[in-house]
Amino acid sequence: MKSYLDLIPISAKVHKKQSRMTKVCIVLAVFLVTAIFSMADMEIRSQQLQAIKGYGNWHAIFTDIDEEEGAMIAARPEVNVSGWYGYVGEKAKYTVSGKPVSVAGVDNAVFESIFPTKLKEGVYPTKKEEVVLSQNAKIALAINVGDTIALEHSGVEPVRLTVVGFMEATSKMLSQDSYTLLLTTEGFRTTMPKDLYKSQFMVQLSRYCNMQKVISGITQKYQLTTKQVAQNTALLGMIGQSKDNYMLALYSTAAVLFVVVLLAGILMIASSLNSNVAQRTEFFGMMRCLGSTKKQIMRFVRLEGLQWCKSAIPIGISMGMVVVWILCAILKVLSPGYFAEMPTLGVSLIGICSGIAVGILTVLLAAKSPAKKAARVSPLTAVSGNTNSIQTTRAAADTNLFKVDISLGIHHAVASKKNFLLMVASYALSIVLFLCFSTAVDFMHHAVKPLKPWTPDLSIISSNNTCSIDRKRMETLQDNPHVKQAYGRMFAYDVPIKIDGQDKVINLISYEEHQFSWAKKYLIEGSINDVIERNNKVLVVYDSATNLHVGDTFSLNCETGQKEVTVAGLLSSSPFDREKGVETVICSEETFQQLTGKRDYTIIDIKLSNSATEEDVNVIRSLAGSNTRFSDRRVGNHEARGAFYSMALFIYGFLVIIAMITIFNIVNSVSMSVSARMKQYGAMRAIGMSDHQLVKMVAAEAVTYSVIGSLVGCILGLPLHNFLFEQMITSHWGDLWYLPLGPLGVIVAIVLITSILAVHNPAKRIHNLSIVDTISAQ
Amino acid sequence: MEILKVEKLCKTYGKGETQVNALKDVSFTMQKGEFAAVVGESGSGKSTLLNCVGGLDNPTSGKVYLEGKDLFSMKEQNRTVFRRRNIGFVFQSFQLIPELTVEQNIIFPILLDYQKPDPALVNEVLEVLGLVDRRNHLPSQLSGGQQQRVAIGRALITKPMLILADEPTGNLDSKNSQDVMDLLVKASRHYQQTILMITHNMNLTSSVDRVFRVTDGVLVDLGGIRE
Repeated sequence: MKSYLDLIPISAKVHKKQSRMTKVCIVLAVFLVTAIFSMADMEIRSQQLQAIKGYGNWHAIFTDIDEEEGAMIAARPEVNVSGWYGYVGEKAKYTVSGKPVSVAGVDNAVFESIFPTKLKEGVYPTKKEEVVLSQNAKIALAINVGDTIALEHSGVEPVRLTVVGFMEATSKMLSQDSYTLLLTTEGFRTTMPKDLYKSQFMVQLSRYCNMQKVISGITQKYQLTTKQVAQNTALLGMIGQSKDNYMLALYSTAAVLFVVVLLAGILMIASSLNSNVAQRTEFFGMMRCLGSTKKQIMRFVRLEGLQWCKSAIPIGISMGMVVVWILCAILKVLSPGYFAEMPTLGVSLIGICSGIAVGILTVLLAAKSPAKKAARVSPLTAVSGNTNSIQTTRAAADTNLFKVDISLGIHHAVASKKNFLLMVASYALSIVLFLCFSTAVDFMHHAVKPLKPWTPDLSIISSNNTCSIDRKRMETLQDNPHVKQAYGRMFAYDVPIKIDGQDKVINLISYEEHQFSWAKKYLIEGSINDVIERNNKVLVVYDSATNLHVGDTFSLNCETGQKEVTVAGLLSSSPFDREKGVETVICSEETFQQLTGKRDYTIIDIKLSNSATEEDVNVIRSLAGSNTRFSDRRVGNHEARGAFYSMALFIYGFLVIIAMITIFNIVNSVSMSVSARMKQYGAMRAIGMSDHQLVKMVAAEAVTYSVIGSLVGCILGLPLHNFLFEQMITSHWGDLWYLPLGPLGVIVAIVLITSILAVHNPAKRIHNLSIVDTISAQ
Repeated sequence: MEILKVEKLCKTYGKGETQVNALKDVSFTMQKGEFAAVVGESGSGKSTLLNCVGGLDNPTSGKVYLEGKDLFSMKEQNRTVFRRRNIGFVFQSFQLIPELTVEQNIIFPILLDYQKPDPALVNEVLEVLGLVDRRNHLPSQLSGGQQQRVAIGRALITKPMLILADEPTGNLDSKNSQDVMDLLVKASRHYQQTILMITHNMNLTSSVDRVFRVTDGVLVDLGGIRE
């Protein structure tokens, strides 16, 4: 031993159990912070990827500025990439081989750095007569690199363009069965008439500048109106550069959560250190007795804390990282294409740094007060040999209210105000944390919609929305081994009806067995079977203005004449958009045929089997025939699924981690509390306290912490939940705050049940303890 | 009337070369109201004897009967309750519950039995102990001598068959030691209380009925001293 500080590892060995418990607390706190911050970091990265894939990697677009202004903006040091962008949509009625197309013009730098799609084949056009097409056009229009296409428009000479490559088709292009041509800016400006588009200047700024300041600087300098400036709110929001009110509300939510997570970490470590030092009063008294100054004792406690950090912080960080890796791996398995760019073994510097900072700073801060406490221990304490009885109690336990074991348990919990405060605060914070993060579940359900069971992969849609897709085509599709399910609907739009003497219109839609079974979930009144089995029975989709009820009969004015139907069921919602004043009425195919005389479908939805390849899709596309639109929703579904999975996984991940931390924290706290009183329990057993009474006493202590902790947690957590809910949900979707009984019940139940179960192990320890050893230890 | 009967009590710690025979075939009896002291050097086995007699420690072999009941044939739970009701302990380091007042500490064994204490008895004990005006004080507000008096009160309150006192004066100065001894003698005479006390202070044995000496785990009855 060269210094008195060398005593630290020796002391740690002697007090192995206490040290282990304190280390566990540090590990848990670091794990909590690392996991939550890393997960948040990864989620933000995933959302950034999604925002870039959805809207492109631009930050601002300036419309109607001149070349010179564009060049000036491009020359600004904060601008990473910039360039001109022009777009003419399908509505302009440009066609290639008779198919409507949209045309965009952009230079290569912008395409590479800003565009959400990437080149799949060939090269980017460099000449004005060269063109890149969306990948879906390659098959649909049977074009290859090197071919020449004619861009046609009525009354204008066709423009001949050479295909030099193909780019990815976005989900929107695929689902709308539209094709995009991409030209160079020069090519676009030469080919497209000026009155068809607005010239836009796309800008991607440096990640490290104050983007809002730069954008408003440009706006002011060139005296642009607000209409001339567009921002990529989703992306700016994800990189913390948005001034959008809603994004600001989300930032304040994140800040609140950040503080709560930090507090939870700090409190866990603080209460553990406090309890650890309290147990070693005698030891510090002995040190003082042997000549240690107060400063030396404080240094000892601080260094001891840091010593624990040496192993606890890496363990906590590793655990946090592993959890995030597992989540990322799950995401990649669930949605491989969508999260391809997300690293499975990604390292979140933010998470790691927060973990380390919380570990070290908290230990130093938390050690401050126990260190002072330790330094205050009088040398007399050590020599009197009677530390236990000298310890601190200021008021006696009230043995009149409850039996003595329970009274003592409650008193043990509340006797030391500081310890009580720390314990209650750490329990309460778990509840606050859980409640706060549970608002994210509501947010997720509003922000990202999961795929419904009826969402198809492909749809064949009548181009004029009539019942014109041959019924036989459905049979052919159903026979295709790569089609898992195919189901059609017939539509009759704006059918006049008469109800209670009033004239109204309805959209009549036919369902088959699959669609009826999916609709069952939404049945609020009546019977779906009646509609399936009996003719002239219909389902009506509920609307607050709906006058139709189960049992009502109304007459339809169909092409085949006046027909009467009866409402057999009411649905709460349906997959169809509705126009105001137009009821959605659903019936069986037989009823539809009887009412309208139509047999063919308006739309056929197809769900593919997992083995279906691109070629199989092409075969199905070829079956679609003329006068139809072929909508490929696979990429869109993939994106929706990916977005939902990523958010759900992270949000539920947060909740599970908070619940786990709560459980570990309670188990550890109860265990530490028992360790601190082991000697006293020995004496009580000697006097005649039974094991059962001891368990009751410890349980009473644990339950006191958890009941008061739960109460305080509710008192603090509910207003905070309200605040976050209003910031995240009410402000955006208008939903009013509700009492979160579900999450509250879950976390309070976890706290209460865990505190009762946490008594089990310490009780076993007390039971196995020799009374003689504990008494003679004094 | 025979209260305590100890029969061939042995206690062995460790195995092989490290084996220590702390008690070797110890046998003795005590009559009701008898006040006996066990003396011996440090490590002679006197505390082990007391712990085994009190049911705090299990002997390797031998029997301990209290009013004819075999202490070690009982299940642990029953033994705990039996100990609570029939054996009072006075420890060197008092072992008071710091969160309970003087009065609560004294009635603690009764409270553990979920019974209501008899206020008259409590007052009487407090008076005997000279702690009436301290009844609502916490142990931390008392001197060592006063704390030990509370411990004696706690041992007396259930009117147990046997009080076991392990160096009750070990932490006290001579004045407080004498007070504690006077109290124990008073308890023995006044309440006909059987007391077995361990001490290494031979001076204290002058006021007891009988003295045992333990040397290397062997108990020798030195007979009565007071007489």
